[in-house]
Amino acid sequence: MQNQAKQLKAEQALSDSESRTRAILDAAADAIITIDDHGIVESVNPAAERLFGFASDEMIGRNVQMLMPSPYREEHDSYLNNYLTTGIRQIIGIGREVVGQRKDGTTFPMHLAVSELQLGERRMFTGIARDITDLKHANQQLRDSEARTTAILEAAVDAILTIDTRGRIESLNSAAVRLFGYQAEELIGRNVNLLMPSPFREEHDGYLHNYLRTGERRIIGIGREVTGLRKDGSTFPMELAVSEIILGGQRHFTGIVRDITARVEATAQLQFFADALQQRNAELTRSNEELERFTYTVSHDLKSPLVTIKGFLGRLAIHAAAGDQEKIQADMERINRAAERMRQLLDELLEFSRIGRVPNPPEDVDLSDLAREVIELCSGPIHERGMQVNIQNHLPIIRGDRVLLREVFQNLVENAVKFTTGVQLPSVEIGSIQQHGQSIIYVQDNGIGIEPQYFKKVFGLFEQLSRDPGGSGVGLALAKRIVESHRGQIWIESDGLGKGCRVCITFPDLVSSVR
Amino acid sequence: MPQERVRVLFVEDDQDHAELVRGCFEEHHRGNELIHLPDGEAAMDYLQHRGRFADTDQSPRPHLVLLDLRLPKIDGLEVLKQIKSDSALKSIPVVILTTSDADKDMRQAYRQNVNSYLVKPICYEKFCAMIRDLDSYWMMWNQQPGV
Repeated sequence: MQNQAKQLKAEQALSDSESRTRAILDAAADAIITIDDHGIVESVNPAAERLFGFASDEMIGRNVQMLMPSPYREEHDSYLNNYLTTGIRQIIGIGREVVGQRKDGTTFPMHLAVSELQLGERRMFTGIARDITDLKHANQQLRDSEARTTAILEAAVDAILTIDTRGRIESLNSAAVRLFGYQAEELIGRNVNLLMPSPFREEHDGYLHNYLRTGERRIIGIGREVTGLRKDGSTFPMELAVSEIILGGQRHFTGIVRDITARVEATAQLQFFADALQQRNAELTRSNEELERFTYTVSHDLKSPLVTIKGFLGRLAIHAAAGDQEKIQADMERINRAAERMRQLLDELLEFSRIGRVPNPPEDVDLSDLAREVIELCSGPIHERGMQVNIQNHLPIIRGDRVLLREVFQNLVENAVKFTTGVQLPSVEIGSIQQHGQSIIYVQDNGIGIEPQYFKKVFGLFEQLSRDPGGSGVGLALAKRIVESHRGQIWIESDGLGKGCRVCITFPDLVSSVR
Repeated sequence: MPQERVRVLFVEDDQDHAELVRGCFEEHHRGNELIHLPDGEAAMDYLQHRGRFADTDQSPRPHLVLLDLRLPKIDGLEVLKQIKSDSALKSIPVVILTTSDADKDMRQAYRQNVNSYLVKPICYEKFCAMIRDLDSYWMMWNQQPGV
């Protein structure tokens, strides 16, 4: 009786356990199939029915190979035999991806985990199968997407790098490899400041730190032009766009870098042409103004002696009628001087207008030689005056029109002679000094000097501060015109009346400043 | 009519032209006083009593300024500008006497409130006639307040 009750209780317990197991199997999402050591299906759960499309009684008692496509179907028995004879596990306890076949003949990828159990004398195998079609699909999509992204990154002309919040390089594309000259593995894990020249290199960590601390953006989302440093030490202008991304809760920064050397060069070239154009425009304007001034001066200054000639001819008639010999003589002298001045004006005007119209071919002109030549040309009045001449050795060599340049210095030396009249020990010096990185060539005298308010005026055509020393006021205008046609500058310096004066010239086309 | 001798400050760098003008004035025997200076700087020194013209008795205020345009040192337009912007001098009539008939010069002179602009005729007879008329108009007919 007691034994009976015990057995009943035990049966009850077994039945409860079976029910529990059954409930679990029924509710499982994965297909669960048990087979014996011949491969014959012993049990299946509802998930297995759903997965393979067979009803349970269509599977139970049949070889499990019915759930596999060829060639696995034909090979399954031998797998099982192999295992049973050698004990070498190919799948049991490991799990792998295999292919299943449904009742309708369609196949699908599935993950299969197989475990072995011993029930008394019998060996049984339980397989748990899961359809991984969707997983595989998702994986494939991920792989495709990754491949696409990689292809895009690799095909990109711009260098693309990602860094972490500490500035360490996490990834880079081929363009980055080409641009900076490093292999990818030389850069991964290194601080990105390696790709910047000083002082940016030293400052970059600080920038990054500041951004992380304050959130204040200096470059992120803005982009700017910076300088990059290649492995070989050369630098180049680059446009950098930085964006911030958060992946898995981690901040990263993506930098897109474009080498803008060509653009910068093109811009510089454009600027060069724009400047050249502007310069030509300025020259043209100056030339127009000069022409206007020229016409004006010619009409005014040539008329002046005419007024004198006609005027004194009128006076001559009156004085002749009166028989006043002395006045007749004086009138004729004035007429003669005016006519002579007119001739001189015409000569000089012709000379002035000729400059630049028939240029001589440019040559290297040694100013020391030129200065000696000019002094020789002016030797008459220089000796007469007892003027001391000092020519500095090693004056610069200039590329230009030798004939015109000689004319400049001849005019300046003649002026020096002219404006040292009355000075006890007249002297003239031709020399050069270095100032602000350029050579200034000067002609200096110890003559009457000039006040600052006239420094500019003296370069005007027919401008004379005084009529006394003779000449027509063309000399400095001529010199200025020649110097400017050599793209140089000419100006005058003097400490005032009685302090002598110094005419200074610079030329941009120096062949050499120091020899 | 003014009782004292009429003083003309004549600023001209061309000695020959100065001589012609002086000759024409003298032909009238009006007894005008012609003060001739050769450049703009000397003219301003005279008018503002500087340097050798510091003594106002020796260099009294002129009744008329006869001014050439192209002058050494300070040119005629600048002299005109300085006279007309000096409250003590601006009432002195200024007559430009020049060889320039350039429109630009005339415009600039009138913009600086010149009182008259005369172009030197090349013909001697006309030159004399102009000086004569200038003399009559400014010295005889034109009235100006006392200083």
